[in-house]
Amino acid sequence: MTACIRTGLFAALFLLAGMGLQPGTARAALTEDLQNLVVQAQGLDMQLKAINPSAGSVCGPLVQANQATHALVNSITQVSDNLAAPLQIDAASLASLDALSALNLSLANENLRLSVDLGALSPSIQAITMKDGIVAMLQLSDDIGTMADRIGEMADKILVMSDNIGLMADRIILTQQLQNQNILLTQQSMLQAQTNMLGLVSVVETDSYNLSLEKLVLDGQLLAARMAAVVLNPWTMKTQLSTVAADVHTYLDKVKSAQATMVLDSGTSTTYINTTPLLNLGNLSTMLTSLASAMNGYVLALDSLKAITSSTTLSASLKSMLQISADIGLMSNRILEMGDLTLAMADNIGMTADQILAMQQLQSVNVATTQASILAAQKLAIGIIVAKKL
Amino acid sequence: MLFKSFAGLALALTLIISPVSACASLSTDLQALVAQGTALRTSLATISVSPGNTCALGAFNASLESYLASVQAVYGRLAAPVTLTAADLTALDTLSGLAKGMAADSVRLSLEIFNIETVADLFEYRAALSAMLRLADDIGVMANRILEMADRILVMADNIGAMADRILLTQQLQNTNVALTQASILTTQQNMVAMSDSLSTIAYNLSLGLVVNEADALVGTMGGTTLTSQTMAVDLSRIEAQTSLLLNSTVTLYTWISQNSQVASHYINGDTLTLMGDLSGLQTALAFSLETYANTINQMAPLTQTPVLSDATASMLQLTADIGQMSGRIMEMTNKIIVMADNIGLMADRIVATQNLQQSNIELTQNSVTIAQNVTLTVIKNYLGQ
Repeated sequence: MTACIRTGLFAALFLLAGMGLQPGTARAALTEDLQNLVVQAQGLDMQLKAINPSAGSVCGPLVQANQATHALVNSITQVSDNLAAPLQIDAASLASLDALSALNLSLANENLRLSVDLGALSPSIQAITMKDGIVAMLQLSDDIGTMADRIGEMADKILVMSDNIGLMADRIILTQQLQNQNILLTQQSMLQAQTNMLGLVSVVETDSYNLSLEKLVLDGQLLAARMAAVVLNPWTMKTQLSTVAADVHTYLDKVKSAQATMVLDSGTSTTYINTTPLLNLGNLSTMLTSLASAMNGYVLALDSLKAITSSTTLSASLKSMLQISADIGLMSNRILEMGDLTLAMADNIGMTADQILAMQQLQSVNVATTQASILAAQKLAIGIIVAKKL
Repeated sequence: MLFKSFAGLALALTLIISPVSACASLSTDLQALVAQGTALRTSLATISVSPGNTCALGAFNASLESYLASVQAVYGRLAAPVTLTAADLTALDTLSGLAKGMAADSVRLSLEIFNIETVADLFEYRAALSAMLRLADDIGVMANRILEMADRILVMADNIGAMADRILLTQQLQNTNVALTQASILTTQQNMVAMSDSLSTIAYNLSLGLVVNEADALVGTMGGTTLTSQTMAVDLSRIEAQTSLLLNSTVTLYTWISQNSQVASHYINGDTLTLMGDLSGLQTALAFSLETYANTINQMAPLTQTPVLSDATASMLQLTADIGQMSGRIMEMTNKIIVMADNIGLMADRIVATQNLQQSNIELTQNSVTIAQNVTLTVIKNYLGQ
């Protein structure tokens, strides 16, 4: 019986001791958690301060900075989620909250500095590198803004859960005012950084290429019609093919010019894909098969006329054929490259994925057909050169 | 006369030597391209994509573009007549084989990117995706230039007859390799396009509209509630419950947008931005009501019973926390949508206008929330002495 009473007394004593110690332990844990967050934020602040973007180092440092920022936001959220009432606020916890808020402002200012640095780099770096930089910076702004919110929410949560507000009221008010000021300054820095980044966005709508692409399709169809209308004969073959070669070369220059415009634009801008240019690029590759088909006709004609054509005419005609096949090959490559480049620089792949895939597949089939025709023409030309010893 | 003879001799010598020099120069150029291309191919083979390591693709793209410039320079230097050698044709074969190998590597890398889809941050994953499309584009250009160079050399060659069989072999190999390269590039592009998820923010407008309506109703409730020393605790408790529901709706929407922003880019709809701006304006109105409540409570505190005042101040602190949190989440929602926007360039001005409006609203909201908190803390200190 005595032992039972003694055990009960010990249990009650432990319970009381436990209850007495609990707020102190919880407070110590909170203080330690907050101090750990301050150390983590200081590390991130140093990391951001050390970043100096250059043409070759935009992606790497910003990806690492984003990862560290994510980790800090997660740590703050975890500490905030683990808060449980009742809490007792002490000066050290409030000092840590002040420090966190000040560090958050410093991070926002570094973010702003990085946006200015990236802006200064923009004339000298590729649009695709700039695109990565812009997205990474917007992500960093988002994360630092989220961090500011989580710190504010944690401070509010601590306030709601604390049971010694009256004693610490003046100190808490100081912290709340400081946090408010810092959050406003942080938000201003973030907004400026975001505005800077959005100012660097340069997009070309592919609709702006419609006119030139439609013209190319039309000119190409006319060229194919002219090529198909040529009937080779042993006497005028040389002139005929020379004229066609010149015609094809002129058209090639137009294709090269359109592609060069796209390449030039891709150096400074990303692309917003519209549907019509995708259709035009598909039509352009279909038009190529018409050119290749006309060339197939020349191959058959040359093969049948080689026996009755003079060596001089044949030699010059074959040179023209090789030139035509090389130019059509070059043309088909440039058309394919226009499609590839548009895709590589596109901002809106997801929304136009189906049309892009359809265009790519159509182009691929058409270009393969064209290349096969070119190879056939080259084989024939080489075969005749060998047979006739030209 | 003697001078003319020497001049004629010099010209003849130049004409004799020139093709040999051109031939030697082309061979040297092609060998140099093979050496550089082999180094690039080895470098690409060692690249492996993992979270945090996606920038290697961008660095490789820079090297590949320098290489393309070298190929282009050799192409530009081609001048007739060209005397082809077996070594030149072998070099052309090797070059097209290198392009084919790189294209195969691009397929491997595109599959590796697929593996990090769920673990990497969206922006990093998308950067890798862009770099892959660029890589595919550059490898395609490289294969094209090599084929064009072969075609051009053929046009310029003066010994086609002597090398016919070997040339045919090269042309056939090039044709096969280019077809295989293009097939690999197409597969890479298809993989990348299939991984590009996009979502129109129009999907959020319904939920966002409901949150705006709820916030508008709360603004009406708070504006229509006059606190008295008898009913303040009950009134604030009722408002706290309504605010808590609004906070839950806001956080649910925020969580939805946040989760989507981790896996898909957004196509920004103008109405979404308008609703976001409206919502931040309503938060300002809510925070202003809180400020008014805090001042009313401060004035009535001496006349209010301690339990009522205690409950009222507790509700006020909860309300300030909830409205502060809501206001932050609304700004965060907009930020998450703009980070990865498909139409960022077209909507840049609208985004900046919305951000400016939200910024002004958040400043007013935070000021009112801070004033309400400070006044409430002073009431607690002076009248409740907790």
